[in-house]
Amino acid sequence: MKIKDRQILLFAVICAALWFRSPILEGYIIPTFGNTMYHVGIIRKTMETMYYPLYELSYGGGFRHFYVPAYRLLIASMAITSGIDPMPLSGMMTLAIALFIALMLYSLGRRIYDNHYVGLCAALFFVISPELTIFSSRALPQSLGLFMIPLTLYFVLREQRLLSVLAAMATALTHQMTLLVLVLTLLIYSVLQLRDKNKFLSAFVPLLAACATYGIWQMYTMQTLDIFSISQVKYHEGTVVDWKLFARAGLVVIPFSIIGFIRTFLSDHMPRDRKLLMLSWFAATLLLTKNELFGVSIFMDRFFTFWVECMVIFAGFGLFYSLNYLDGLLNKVGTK
Amino acid sequence: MKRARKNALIIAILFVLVIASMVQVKKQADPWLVPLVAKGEVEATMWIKENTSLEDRFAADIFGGELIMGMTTRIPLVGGDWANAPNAAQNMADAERIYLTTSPGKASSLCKEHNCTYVFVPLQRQIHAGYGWKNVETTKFSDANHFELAYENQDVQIYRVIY
Repeated sequence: MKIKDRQILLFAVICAALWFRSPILEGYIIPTFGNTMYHVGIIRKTMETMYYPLYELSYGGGFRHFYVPAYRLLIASMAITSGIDPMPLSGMMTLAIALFIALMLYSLGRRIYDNHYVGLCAALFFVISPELTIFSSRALPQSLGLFMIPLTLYFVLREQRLLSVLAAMATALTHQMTLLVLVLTLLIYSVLQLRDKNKFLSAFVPLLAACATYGIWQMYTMQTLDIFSISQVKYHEGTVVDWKLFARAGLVVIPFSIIGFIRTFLSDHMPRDRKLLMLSWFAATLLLTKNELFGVSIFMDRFFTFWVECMVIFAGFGLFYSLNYLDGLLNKVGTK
Repeated sequence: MKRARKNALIIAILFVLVIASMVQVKKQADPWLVPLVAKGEVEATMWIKENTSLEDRFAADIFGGELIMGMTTRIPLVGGDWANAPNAAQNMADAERIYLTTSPGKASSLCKEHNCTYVFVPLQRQIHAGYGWKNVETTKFSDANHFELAYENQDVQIYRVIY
């Protein structure tokens, strides 16, 4: 079997992604910003009792959980299987999840633009985006969410209904903000595909599955579907995404994502469903990121991470398009 | 332009873009990837695990509390997910008061109000209980009428609250 250039390049991008995150394992403890050790606590409790706890260890404890369990159960089961303590294992799994995010962005970019090199460029932008580095270098459910979104969208695009339903259900149990991103993306896409029954159902069925899964889980844990009384909503936890925070998407990512965005929607060759899916993802994450404009003001900065994830796919195409354009220019210089 | 020269130019452009981006990643991501708690605080959790019970409650700041939770599953006054916590804001305010007050009696009564049996006192860093980074007032904990030193190393002291 001959190893192709693009496989070597993908391997190099993955190595860079892992190298950037290797300090996670070098310290005496994993990075602690963003409640990472809180999740380790619930994982440890699950391992010690062999039950997923219904009651919190947080803030004095004794009240019912709000959080969803998929990430914690994944780490707990890996820790039980491997015999490794959940604290260092959380760090190791962060590296593994980052690797899968890079591969998933490569696969989705390749699928949407029918081009390996666009996928490669998208994976490269994942590595060089500060925002995505920050949220895929800490042992948090959001990093798994950053993998679940492109995975579910990949199955939706391929109209693999069973897999997209399973992925949507897993997303619902991974991270609440990820779920909101997925639900809004699929809702916009469903509406845009109302005229095509098959494509409509390919998005709407996983959307329903995700909502039902989450609803059942929340009824089980909190015994109510009301999420408006949680502290994050009550105290409007979140930071407005200003220009300074926006720059954290990556000073190189931003211009190429603009080029990619414009070229995507100007292209006559790209299938309509792919354009609509990218448009839905972009619109959903933009609306959630700027939710303060609608008086919501919750987790704007956290939704921004998912917007950046969508931007790196556009940036991948933008870079590919720019290099092709440059190639054409240089060829012209050569023939003169 | 010759093919080799053209490829070299494209690779050089890509190289410059990647290096510039990596500098930005390093500068902006590194502050988010620090441990925040000191090495001695991590070591202290071994003592907590071996010498306290699951029913013990710890007065700690958010990062100390999450460390205790993560390594020992003991319950802290603050730290973790506040989504469904009935009195999260009150817990934060009281945790901060325990660290900042100069009165041993006040600190002790706040601990008792929240059923805290131990106080986790970081020595090498400021505390953050939800309202910003603050310096700890440590002398009150040496009042033997209210607190008893149970464990110490270079980075942390753990006091038992006298009931």
